[in-house]
Amino acid sequence: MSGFLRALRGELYALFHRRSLRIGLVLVVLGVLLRMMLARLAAGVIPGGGAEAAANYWPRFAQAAGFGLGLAELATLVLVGAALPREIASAAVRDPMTRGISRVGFVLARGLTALLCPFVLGGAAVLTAALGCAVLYDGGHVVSAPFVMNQQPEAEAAFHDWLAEEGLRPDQLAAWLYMVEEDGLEGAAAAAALGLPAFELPDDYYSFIPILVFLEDEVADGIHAALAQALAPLTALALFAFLLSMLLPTGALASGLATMLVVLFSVFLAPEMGAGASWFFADWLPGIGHDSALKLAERVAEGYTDSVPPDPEVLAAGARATWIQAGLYFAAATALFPRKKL
Amino acid sequence: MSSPLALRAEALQLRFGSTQILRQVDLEVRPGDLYGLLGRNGAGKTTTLRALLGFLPSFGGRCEVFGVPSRKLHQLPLPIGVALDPPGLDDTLTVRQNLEIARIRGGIRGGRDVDEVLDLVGLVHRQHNRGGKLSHGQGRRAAVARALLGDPRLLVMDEPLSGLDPEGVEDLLDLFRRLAAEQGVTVVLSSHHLREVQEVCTRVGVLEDGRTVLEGETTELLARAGEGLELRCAQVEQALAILVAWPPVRDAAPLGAGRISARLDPGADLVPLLAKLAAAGVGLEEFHRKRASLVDLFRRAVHQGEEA
Repeated sequence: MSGFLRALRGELYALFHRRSLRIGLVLVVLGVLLRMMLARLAAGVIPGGGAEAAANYWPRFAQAAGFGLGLAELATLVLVGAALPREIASAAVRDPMTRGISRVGFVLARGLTALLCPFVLGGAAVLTAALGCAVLYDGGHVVSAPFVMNQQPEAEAAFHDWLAEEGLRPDQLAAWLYMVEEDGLEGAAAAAALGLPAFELPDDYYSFIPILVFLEDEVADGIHAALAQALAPLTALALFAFLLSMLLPTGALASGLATMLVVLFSVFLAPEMGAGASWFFADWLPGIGHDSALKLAERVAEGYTDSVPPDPEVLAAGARATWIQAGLYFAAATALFPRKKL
Repeated sequence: MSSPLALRAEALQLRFGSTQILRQVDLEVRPGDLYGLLGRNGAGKTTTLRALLGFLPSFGGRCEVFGVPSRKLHQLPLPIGVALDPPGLDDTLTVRQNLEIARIRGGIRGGRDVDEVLDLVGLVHRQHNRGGKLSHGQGRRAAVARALLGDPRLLVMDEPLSGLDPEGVEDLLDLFRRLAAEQGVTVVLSSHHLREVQEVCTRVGVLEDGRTVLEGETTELLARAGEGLELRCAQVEQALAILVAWPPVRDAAPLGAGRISARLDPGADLVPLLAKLAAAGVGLEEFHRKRASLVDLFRRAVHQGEEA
């Protein structure tokens, strides 16, 4: 087996046997659960409503996943940034060099393992958010409350009783009405297109039907696309921390500086830089990035129709720049390690 | 063609910033040697071993391990075991996990396994302790255990005896002796335990201030050193002058605290010397003949190195 593969096996063994990753995982999962609980308490809603954004699965999932990814990003900066200087200081890094592993082979293995950190932690965050929100909320189309001229509590209660009898949700009715009124479909055809059982809607209930803002599929696709777009910035993030761990003498300094640079950029610099910020990977981080696609998808899922998706060309250029940065960080780290005193 | 040296440093020089750490280190360790690398604190022993093993990216001179330049140590076809100072354990992993990861990295299948080396160094009861929770001596033992994994043909140990209890020192030296004698393993150990090194090492090298000041076969060096004389008095300079002027004394050097060590021609009669010292008014507090030991060789070599 080549030195690189042995180094990679060793790094994987160390990664999954160290407590740091497990502690990071626990913190991320607990953080996501706490965020979901707080969102629940803040909204004061009951599960199964589906008509309001606060009770809809998708915005809550995007919110919790975004929060968890933010924690995963910070944990990645700390864990990846601190690891190598600590091992150099304790001389633990010398052992692989005496076992037929070249320095380049070692740094490649370590770099690849560093990439696992944001994806393991981020994956745990997304999974926790998905499962937690599935327990707490129902999915549904994004709707806004109907404008009712005269409040008729009894009639509204009767409307909800009718919904329950028919096995329908208000947001499904909103989508159905949209297809009937805007797309010109027959009622039965619209119901069939939406996979709803056939029903006859009493005229009195039309005024209680909420207004469709976005279809569930549109929102879900937006969130999934945002999660997919996180691949490049999370990769660059891990390699950025890896490079700093190569440059700085102590783990505290490396992880502290890496965290400070990324957070300062996202909080202070990116809002002032405008489009210029999109050239730096930290702008696109799903959790703490200023132009996080996931945050935008969350706003869409919340029903904010003024949320403007970024220009696809800017998005593509940002993704390209992010991959290039990731490559440069990796190349620089690979070039630096052979020059280090161990 | 003769087989390459196990370790070779030739005109090794190294500077860290403005400090010249190594000035002229020349070492030769032959396959099968049990080599003791000696020197005072700061003499350059650890740095020399780091350079020899390729841990330092740039230095002057030449360093080779079994003929392979130390910068390309990963190309070495033979397994080696290394335990430098600090022990280099991953503090976040247990002793056993540290050994497992070394086994994985080395692709070790045969030879001594994890259980065997833990038993050899007496760390079975501490195998589930994390590296950061070990005492100094236990950390050393763990590093030695890691170096012994598999079937290394060269063991490089930096002060492996430091922090060990007397029983541990005995066990480890006995192990090194057996590995060298029975399996032909080359063992290089740096140490301040001169008596123990004299007992086990077939060859020694002494560094002083970044230079090799003495190197050779232990028995040959001791034989060449002849007999010795050690005395203690208040008038060191006066006594030293008398000693140097007396023909049977080959050389003499102060050891500090009023003590002087001298090398003598074999069978030299000391009575005339005692008379000369007494006549000069040198008040002797101690005066005894002794066989030269590694301690004497070391002191002389270091003294000569200081003067150089």
